[in-house]
Amino acid sequence: MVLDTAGHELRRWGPGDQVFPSLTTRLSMDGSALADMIEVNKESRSQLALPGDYADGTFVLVSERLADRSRRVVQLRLWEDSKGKRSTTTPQDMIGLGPGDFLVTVGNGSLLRVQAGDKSWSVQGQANGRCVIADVDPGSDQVLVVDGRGAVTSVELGSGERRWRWSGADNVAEVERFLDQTGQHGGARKVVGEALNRMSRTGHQQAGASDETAALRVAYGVETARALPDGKVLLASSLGVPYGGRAWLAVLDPQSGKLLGTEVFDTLATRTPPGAVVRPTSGGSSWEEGLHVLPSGEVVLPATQTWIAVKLQ
Amino acid sequence: MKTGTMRLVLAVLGVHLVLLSGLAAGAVPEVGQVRSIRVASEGASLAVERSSGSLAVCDGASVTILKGPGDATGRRLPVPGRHADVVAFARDRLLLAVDWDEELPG
Repeated sequence: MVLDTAGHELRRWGPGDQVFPSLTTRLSMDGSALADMIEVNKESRSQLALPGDYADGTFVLVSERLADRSRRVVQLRLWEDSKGKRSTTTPQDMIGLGPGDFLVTVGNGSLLRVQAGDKSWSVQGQANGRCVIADVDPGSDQVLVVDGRGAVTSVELGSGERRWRWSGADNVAEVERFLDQTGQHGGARKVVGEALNRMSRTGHQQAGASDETAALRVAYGVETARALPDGKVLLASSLGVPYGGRAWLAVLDPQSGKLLGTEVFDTLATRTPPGAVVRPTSGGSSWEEGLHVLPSGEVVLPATQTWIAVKLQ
Repeated sequence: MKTGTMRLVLAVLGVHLVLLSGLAAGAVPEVGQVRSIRVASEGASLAVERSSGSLAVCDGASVTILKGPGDATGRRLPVPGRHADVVAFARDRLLLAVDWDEELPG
């Protein structure tokens, strides 16, 4: 349901609502609309009155203004490659910026913005695999995307211009220097070894990635990122945890590519109030729910007995 | 009291009020400073309004809107259903995930 801060209920839906709005529906970044990305099938075709030429298995972007419940349904077209062929990639992640205004990532790592029913810009991806929108910061006019190799890319929200891309796998020495401060000397290299061992034992291979690439991702890649008000970026990872590594938080200076200061969880262990131990969250939705940035530069994190706000830089 | 003096007193009072409200909202934290958000007990869900820095803390039965981490009281709004979590906070809108149980959605 959507509530305003005066306590007025603006929209309510329940478990019986399967298409739109549903459990996957989100609030747009500007708070004015609901937004979702919905697969075309018999049910959605019927409920959203989709045109007959929208093929099953493709996707539509739907938004609904909370003020008057007017809807916009946009066909997500991913087939505009250079040869005019339909793409085999699938959409991965979506955020509504406002009514009829969407950011979408696809499986080849690309990011596109759809406005007023059409693609306004797209940025070509550099890695296959799951690509997520980690943060949208209108204040600095940027969107941060984490690709299938655990690299972070900053894209200008207005123009779609790529500002920078930082990959831990391309900065192995820097990540090791940083993580070695935590007392787990050589921890990242051990994660690489353990990941390679396990992949060779199980024969498991990540789609579109060699074993070495996949191992580098879990040891040096990130899961999410947040733009900080001073231009720095907070990086978070727990990818190495299943391989004997640890979750970590670091502040990146995108200009120099350096990780600044010390690891955040280590720092907080000595600073949090008695009883309020910060628990490193892990994995996509946990980071999403438990890592917030304030205009003051403070980062808000869950602790065992409360939530805390910490000023990092 | 002369008009000029009155203005000066009001101006000084205004500055003090602004400073006090700033401190209450915790507007000027120092680097390394850690503050507990006391309203947010264990298990509470929390969302942040990015541009203003306001926080929405949900204990399952109500949502409390805080001006910032230092705001100790906030404004409390009851929420329907058996249990709710706050998922997003944008401008003056809150998205809540509600366990409706047997309560029918309207």
